[in-house]
Amino acid sequence: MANDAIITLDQIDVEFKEKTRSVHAVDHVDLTVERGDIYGIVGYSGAGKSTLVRVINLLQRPTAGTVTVLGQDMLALDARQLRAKRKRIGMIFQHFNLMNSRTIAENVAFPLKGHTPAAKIKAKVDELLELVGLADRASAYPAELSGGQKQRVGIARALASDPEILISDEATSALDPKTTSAILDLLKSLNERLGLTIVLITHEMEAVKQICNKVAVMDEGRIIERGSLLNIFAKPEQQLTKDFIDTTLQLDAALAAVRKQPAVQALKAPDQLVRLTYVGASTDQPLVATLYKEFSVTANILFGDIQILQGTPFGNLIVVLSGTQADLDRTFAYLKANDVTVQALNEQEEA
Amino acid sequence: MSVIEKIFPNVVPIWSGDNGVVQAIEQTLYMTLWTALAAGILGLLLGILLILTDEDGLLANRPFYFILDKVVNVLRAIPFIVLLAVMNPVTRAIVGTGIGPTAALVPLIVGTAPFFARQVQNALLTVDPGVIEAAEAMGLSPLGIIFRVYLREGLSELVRVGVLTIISVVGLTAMAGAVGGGGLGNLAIAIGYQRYQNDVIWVALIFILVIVFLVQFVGDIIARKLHH
Repeated sequence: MANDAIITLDQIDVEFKEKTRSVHAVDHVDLTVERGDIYGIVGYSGAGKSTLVRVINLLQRPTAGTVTVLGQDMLALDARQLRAKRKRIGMIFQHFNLMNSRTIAENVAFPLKGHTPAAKIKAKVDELLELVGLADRASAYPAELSGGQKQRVGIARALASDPEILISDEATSALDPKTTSAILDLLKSLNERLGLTIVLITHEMEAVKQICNKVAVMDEGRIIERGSLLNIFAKPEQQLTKDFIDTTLQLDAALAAVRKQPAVQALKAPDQLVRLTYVGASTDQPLVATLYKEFSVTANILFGDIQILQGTPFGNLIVVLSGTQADLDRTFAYLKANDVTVQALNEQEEA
Repeated sequence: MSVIEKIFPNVVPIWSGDNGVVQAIEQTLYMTLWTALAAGILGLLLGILLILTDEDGLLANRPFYFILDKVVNVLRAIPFIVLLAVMNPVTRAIVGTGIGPTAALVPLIVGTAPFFARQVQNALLTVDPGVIEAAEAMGLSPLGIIFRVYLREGLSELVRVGVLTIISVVGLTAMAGAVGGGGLGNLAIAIGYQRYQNDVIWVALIFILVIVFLVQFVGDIIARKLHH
């Protein structure tokens, strides 16, 4: 698929000057988002991700760097041109930011009022409310809706001016898991049906895992790791990235439980407790069977998790491998050759 | 002799005519309405300017905010009775006289506008900054945000502080009346108090309270209609 850059941030720096100190919220960040991407930016609060995405529509002006959106150097625009450009970039928020004094239909119509004929607005609002599944609540007020419904209104409003980009600022962070999942599915379908490019910032790797095709991990104003979803999940390099992924997979909890099992407690050399991580093609092979047949090594599976990321299987197994030292060495060589990442989980070491 | 003449022996003879009760009511309403209108517009304007130029405002401007903020504070700090005296030459220059309801309008407006400006600022501060940010992200101009977000989202709060301000204006007109502005305050002090005619004081008080309650009543109805 031929992609083109729709957002390019080049050496973006944002510094907040306070009386006694200055805070480096974003530290020389480069970011390229291509048309059709659902780009996840993940990090803990205070990592600078909200500040970074606000640079895209210049709600936050960078201290240094260049911002190119839809082929336009954003910093070269005057106020009027910038406002016109902002209509091409929708935005949804953690706390929805709906106007309580207006009905749902009026909220969705809000960005269109003043420069669009009334009949056209009405048709557009009906269409959008249908799209987000709230056609029957048009005349309700925001106070009458649940969090998930409010976010659907937020999405409909963001889409009213037919943007090509949607910025999602922790849009699911105030929602329960089930609602979160439904909202993410909606975003994914908008991406597929409308070709909407989405930049999604979150502190939940779960959300990224569900819909993003690319991920960047932010810490202290910098992007410390980035890549396709599969690459990041299969071969994370930074500890923070690993932490995020493990939390999502609930490996920490699983490992703690596994360590308490007799099979692990009574582990004797050369047997080893290891974590096997594999992606895509390697999953198709009957891994465990192969190890036994070829190398006479038995694999006692203590924990297993296989997920489909972007249509590709992604597996994590915690196993005890038993056999002679020579057989085990050959096994590790074989696994490495077949793109299975092996991580030794020794007794005292924290994974 | 009717019952009314028995209870209000001093009110009945001065009910109508020059410096009568009816005229006093008219004068109080006249001062209140014009002050509410002029100080309302002026205060709204100043309040919006305070919101816009504040540190986190849409058009943040530190020196401008600093000066406006101080001016509002200083004007609010002046006791109204002193303001009446201080404003006297200005009033004469503008209206041509220092006596009467129209002359009282000048200090009333100068005293009320800064008070209302601060009330407006506080009312608009209750508008969720997130909603303002959302409007900015949608490409609204600052003028669009003032009219379509601040004044709309803050409307029920504005009505509330508006009622509060009008009621305080009724109080101020009584004070202005005492130094020659006319109205119910003047009636109570210049006639009732000075001549020991307590029934006149009571009648003036009753009408002042009726005006206050009416303002509150109408304000509450409007505020309730606006609340969702």
